[in-house]
Amino acid sequence: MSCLRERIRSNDAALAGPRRTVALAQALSRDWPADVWRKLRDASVLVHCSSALSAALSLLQLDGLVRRMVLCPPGADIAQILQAAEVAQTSVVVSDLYTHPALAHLPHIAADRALSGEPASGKRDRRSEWVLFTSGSTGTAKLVVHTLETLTARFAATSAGSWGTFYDIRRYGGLVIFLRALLSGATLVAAEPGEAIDDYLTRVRTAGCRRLTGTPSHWRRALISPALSGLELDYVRLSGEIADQAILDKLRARFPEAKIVHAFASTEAGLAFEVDDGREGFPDSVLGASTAQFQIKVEDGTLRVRSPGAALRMLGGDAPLCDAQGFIDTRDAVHFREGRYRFEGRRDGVINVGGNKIHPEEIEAVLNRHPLVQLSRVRSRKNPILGALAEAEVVLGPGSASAPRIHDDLIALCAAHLPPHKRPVAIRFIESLPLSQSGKLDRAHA
Amino acid sequence: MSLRASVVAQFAEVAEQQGRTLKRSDDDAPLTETGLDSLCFAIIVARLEDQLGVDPFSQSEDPQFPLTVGEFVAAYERARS
Repeated sequence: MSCLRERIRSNDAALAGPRRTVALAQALSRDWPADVWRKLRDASVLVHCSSALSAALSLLQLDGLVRRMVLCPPGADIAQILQAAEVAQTSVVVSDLYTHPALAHLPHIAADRALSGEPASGKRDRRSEWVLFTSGSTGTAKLVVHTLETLTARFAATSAGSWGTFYDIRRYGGLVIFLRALLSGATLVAAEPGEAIDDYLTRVRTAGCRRLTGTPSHWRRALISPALSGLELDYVRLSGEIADQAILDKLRARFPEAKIVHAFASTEAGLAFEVDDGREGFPDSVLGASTAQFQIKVEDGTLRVRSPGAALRMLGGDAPLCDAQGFIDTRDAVHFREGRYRFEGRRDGVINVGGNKIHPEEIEAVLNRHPLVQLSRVRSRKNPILGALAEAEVVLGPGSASAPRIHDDLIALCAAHLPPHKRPVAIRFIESLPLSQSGKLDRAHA
Repeated sequence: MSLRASVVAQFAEVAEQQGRTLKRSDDDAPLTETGLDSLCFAIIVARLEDQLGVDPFSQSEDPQFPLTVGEFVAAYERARS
């Protein structure tokens, strides 16, 4: 398989940042200077950039040249980055930042030097490892190894044009869309860390994007943004969190003509499947659609995936990525009802109420059904009698009626749809809920 | 509202929300004869914590859970004093 650079050299792919748009064919007519090339050849490289655009351009120049590149996502703290550098045995840092004192022992190469060098003389014929932080990373960094083959294994042909994604391209969800857009010859409007959703949506609209992807939390935020007015889309995609019926219905109402797809994918397992029938969960036909390389199953209540798009292995630590048959346990709990599987939540996030295990996501899905609820988060609250109870925080949409009235509505909604032990003991109204760097509802600090 | 009245009001409210009947709430009533189950008491303790700012059963290392309504109320009186 040829390197990424070769594969997009002759198409019209472009990257649009807040201040500049880079036509890649033009950018790739440049290369690293010979001295830098020698330093990078077969090296393990830490890609540590503040700008998504700089990181993206570096990746294009590094694939096929280096042995391994570690993509530092925005929001990773320096302790995690140092740990990653050590585990991945990196010997060089490619960066658009000042040199962090903790990384000063490693030689640094400016990310934009590839744009000023002479055309390449050597061959990019290495099968570079792409090392990604998993999206659940809090505390110690968890690293998985992909290659260009695994990252692009399950691509179907797509249209060019202009694409947008709320994800940062240095995490799995965004990276896959970045690669898919570039290999399709599209322009990707790349979100920059810290860019407000309103500003990003304005750029998306101005660029004429017809495809936009993000987490359900991104979409819940986008749907109340004034910058969404005037934006028309052909393709709306959600992944990274459970897409509940409420968000699918709201998107359908806002984009009646668009194809609305919710996908299940993870950094470890890659893309498992996509659903486009407008309903939450997935039909059991998804489990039947297996091939020799690709298979999905449910075992012990969680979804397991064997896929050519899965990561090759974990980097560091002893935990194996998959079982002996090659299945990765996604730790996402599902249950089957009326011909359809529905996601209950993360195995790791269960709240144990006196021995009854409940998933916050299931309760949030009920609260989110209320038309005035924009976003909700359910968390565990310690209790001396049952160990824990669920309690909820709710963000109301703009121009909502008085909170006391909605509070009573929500209590009634929970009573109608949840057994007693799953009903939140308290519902608090708050101004906003934080999203993690990967665009998911921040549960680590719940 | 006295502390005792606040506590008993929670008993009644939670019983109603949980579709139960509050059978007894006098001081001598064993908690097992109030008609409330452990989920009800878990909810009552959480609600009282929000209302009064104390949870007497999570404060000590080795909490003795009360056996009667009177002891339950007394635990809150001690915690607030």
